[in-house]
Amino acid sequence: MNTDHPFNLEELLARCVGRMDFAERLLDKFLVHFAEDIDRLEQHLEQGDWEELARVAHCMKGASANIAAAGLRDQVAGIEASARDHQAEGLPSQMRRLREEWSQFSNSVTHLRLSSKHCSAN
Amino acid sequence: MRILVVEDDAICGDILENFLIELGYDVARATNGRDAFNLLRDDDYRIVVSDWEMPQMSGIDLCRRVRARPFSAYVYFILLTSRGGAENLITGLNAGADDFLTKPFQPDELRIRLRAAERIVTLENRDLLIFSLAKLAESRDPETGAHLERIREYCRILGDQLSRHGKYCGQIDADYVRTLYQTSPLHDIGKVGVPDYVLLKPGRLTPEEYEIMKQHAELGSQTLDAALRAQPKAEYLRLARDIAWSHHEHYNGKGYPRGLAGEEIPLCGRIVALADVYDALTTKRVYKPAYSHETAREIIIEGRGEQFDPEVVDAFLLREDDFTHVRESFDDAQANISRIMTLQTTAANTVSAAWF
Repeated sequence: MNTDHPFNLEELLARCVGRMDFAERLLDKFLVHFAEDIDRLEQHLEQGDWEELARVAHCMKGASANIAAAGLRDQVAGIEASARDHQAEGLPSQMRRLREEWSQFSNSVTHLRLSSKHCSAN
Repeated sequence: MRILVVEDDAICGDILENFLIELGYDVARATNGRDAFNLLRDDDYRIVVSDWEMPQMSGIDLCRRVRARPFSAYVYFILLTSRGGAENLITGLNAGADDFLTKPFQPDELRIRLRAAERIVTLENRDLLIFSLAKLAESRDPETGAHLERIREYCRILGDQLSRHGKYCGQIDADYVRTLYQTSPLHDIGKVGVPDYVLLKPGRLTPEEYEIMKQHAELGSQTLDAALRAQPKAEYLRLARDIAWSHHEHYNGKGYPRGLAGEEIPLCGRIVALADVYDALTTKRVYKPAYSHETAREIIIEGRGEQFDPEVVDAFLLREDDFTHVRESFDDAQANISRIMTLQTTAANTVSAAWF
């Protein structure tokens, strides 16, 4: 788990051509989409739908990699691999780690938004 | 340059779109291969950046479909993938991908790969060559002015109008119209084989001379057919060849060179036939003055179902305003060119006079 830096702002900004406003909009969108996708993963896991589980995890992997959230990317990559191999045993703990990582990521983004607002207010 | 981004994930798509816009590209988006293919068919995209795994139609299937269909211009295909390994690389290359980019993309890498893509697509200067060749042939017959420029505009208008007709759904799409626009100027390419005493005769042709003139349709067709045999997959050459031999055929079977009737005549030939005649009627020739749009319109209506395909005539009548607009624009353009040439000649004479 990548506990030190839930996401790499510098890498994300490079991909956003240095535009902080765009990076912030992306992060907001990501927060909504990723939370929905986690719920979707839970549903597919409950239903034992391996194919959909792997597909959604694959999409989440791409999105988290693009947003430069290495910790999230690693967690969903593990879930995708387990789903493709139909390995059910490890999945509940992988899902738990994903939620933990997600919580850290969300906090980190909230912190960033607060400091950003503070800077612009000053 | 226009780029089509095909990505089902909204975040990845947003990042790519923003990055490409910042680089100065005109960007469109699709979220699956099927929608992307429709966009490619209906519009002019030279570069595609596509994700590999997508619902409905994957990036690899999209790439295969793009390569299976001879588009009027080469489409440079970059596959975006998190898949590594030689096996996937080979699958992608076999499908016709030009390049690969690993997800998440590195900005500098994408910039460099796009530069390479641009180099490739701009090497393809076919459109310019086609038009230059047609202009060269036309240069022997200076009286026609901006005939080729007008013809291709008229063809585009007719093609566009006919594409809205249910009957032509699946036959005429944006790519067809684009190819028609590009190749219609080659309709009289066979005139390079017509002797000067016939082609440049200042007056009406005798029946014998007319027979010689008529040969230009088959001459042009033979020339383009030879090129097509060398490149059998080049659909634009097939269209150009068909236009060359069939644009003097008449819907009632009384045209030349083959005397075909109705839909035996290729659609492209039926379209160019009307465009060519309208232009001949509305411009001045040695043997006749320039007729007004109204007179040309009457003559074309009289020829509905006789010389011309009725549906092409109907398309013309629905887009009359566009025809007159094209005619007027090129009249103005021609007048400007003539004015500039006169000024240049005057200036040159003045300089010469001063010198000597």
